[in-house]
Amino acid sequence: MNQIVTIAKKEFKDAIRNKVFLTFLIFLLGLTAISIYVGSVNYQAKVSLFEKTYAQLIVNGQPSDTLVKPEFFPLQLLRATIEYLEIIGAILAISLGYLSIAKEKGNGTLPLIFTRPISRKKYYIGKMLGNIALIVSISVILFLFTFLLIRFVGGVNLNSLEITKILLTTGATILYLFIFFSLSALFTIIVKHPSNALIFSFVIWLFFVLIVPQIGDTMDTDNQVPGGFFNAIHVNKEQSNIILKDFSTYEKLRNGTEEISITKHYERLVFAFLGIKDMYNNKFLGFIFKDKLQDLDLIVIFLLVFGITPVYAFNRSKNLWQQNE
Amino acid sequence: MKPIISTNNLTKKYKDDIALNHLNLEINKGEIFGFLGHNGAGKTTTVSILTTLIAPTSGAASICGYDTQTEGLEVQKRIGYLPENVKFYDNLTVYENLEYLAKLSGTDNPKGKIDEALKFIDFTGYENKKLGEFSKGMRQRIGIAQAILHDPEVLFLDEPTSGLDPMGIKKLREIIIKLNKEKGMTIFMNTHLLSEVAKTCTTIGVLNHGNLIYLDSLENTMKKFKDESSLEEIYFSMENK
Repeated sequence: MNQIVTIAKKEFKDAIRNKVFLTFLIFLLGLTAISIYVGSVNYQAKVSLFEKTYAQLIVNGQPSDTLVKPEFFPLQLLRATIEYLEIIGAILAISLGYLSIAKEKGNGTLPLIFTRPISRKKYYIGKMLGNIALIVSISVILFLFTFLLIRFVGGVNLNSLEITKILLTTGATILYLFIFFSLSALFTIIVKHPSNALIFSFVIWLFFVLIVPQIGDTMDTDNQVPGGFFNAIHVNKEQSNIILKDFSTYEKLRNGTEEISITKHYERLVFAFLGIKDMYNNKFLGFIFKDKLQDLDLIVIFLLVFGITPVYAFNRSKNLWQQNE
Repeated sequence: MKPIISTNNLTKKYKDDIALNHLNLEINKGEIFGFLGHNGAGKTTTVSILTTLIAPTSGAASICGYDTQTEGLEVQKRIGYLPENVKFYDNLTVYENLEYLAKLSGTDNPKGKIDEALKFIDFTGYENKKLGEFSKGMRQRIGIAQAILHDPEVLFLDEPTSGLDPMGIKKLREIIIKLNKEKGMTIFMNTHLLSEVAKTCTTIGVLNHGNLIYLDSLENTMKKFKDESSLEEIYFSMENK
């Protein structure tokens, strides 16, 4: 156990001294800060407009009861943060997985390690734990940062349910990033030249993070018009479900395309937690978990497959160091 | 006396190439063994098998009585290894590198062992510098330090003087002899520098295309080949036989 902790600590220390990693992290924090700041200012502008209009109506002696106060769902401010995490967070996790193995392979430090009394399995587990600690730190810093921005820039006090939802989003983000870390580590272990592993990882990233969700979104009937197609033609949710029954094959195909993307499952789950999809807004966790169980299940399946496979690959790989003269 | 390093018909094939062909070797405790051979002769393959880094195709090897394949962890507790062109974690300082490796070796008192090892190689005062800042010679000395942190019984050195300037070679040679004399370590040294063998080793073996063509003490070697004027000529006469 001591050896695993030693490796994990060294891995953590090594990564936080890496300039590429720090640059990505600062970039991610910067984008998050901007998006939440813009969202908060936008909301405050709407409230200010409402208050001014309301005051004017009172002054003019006109009826003010038709004026609707803008609703504010503070967790919806995290939408952009989640979208950045889906894309940049995945790149960050891929970089961690790649660097964790490729640096050792490229530098030739592994012979120093494996002439010591430590098994390959323990060594990889130590590396994995060090990187999990790093991913946890990144996620906690990011969501703590968003919480503070909402509190102090947006001026909103979050209630305990909202804080719990942010914590669940943090947990889901850790799982999502870990899957990309493991995927990239796996490729780096099994291919002979680490640079090829980076190419493979980014092809996977491109396909599952950008292309597949985009196909799914483009095929979504409700996404054809800004604000929603059915909304635009004044068809409510129940009626739209009845209409969509006639297009069930098309919908199955669209949904099936999205199902293969881990990014889409992550997005569906955290958008539900954060109430970014209106139907989950202000809903209790029991309802959300029940409705999103399939996405959670698939995230766990991805997690198990990509979490365990690199351990065995590392244990058996003949590509970790040069094995002939 | 039971040999501390022993190989029995040790063979390694890479597809159709035979890197090592039925190597039989016995090295006793306290020896400094110089393993000579041209590039590609099979020296690094031998050390890689003895240090448990790779598996032989057939045959067996043991260190301190433990089989390198079936009792790898026991072997690893008893060996130190300095690879050719040793590489470290350049982001970390000398101390952090050594602390990491000492802990992986299961050393009880890493700080004490690091201080002792650095003192032994005459490298105190540089602990907090990053590895990237050092010359090849200095890195080789730190390489020795990492290999002796856990007081191994056998030390494997793969071309330890390769790429060093004369001063670096002299310094490293002194350290190797001191390790043997003061700490009683058995040393297995791959080299193609004959002058190093003559100045450092007690026994020599010559490997040619994977075959061990010669094995004897340096003293006997000098007696056997008394007609030859230098060790270099002895080496060539053995290779040509």
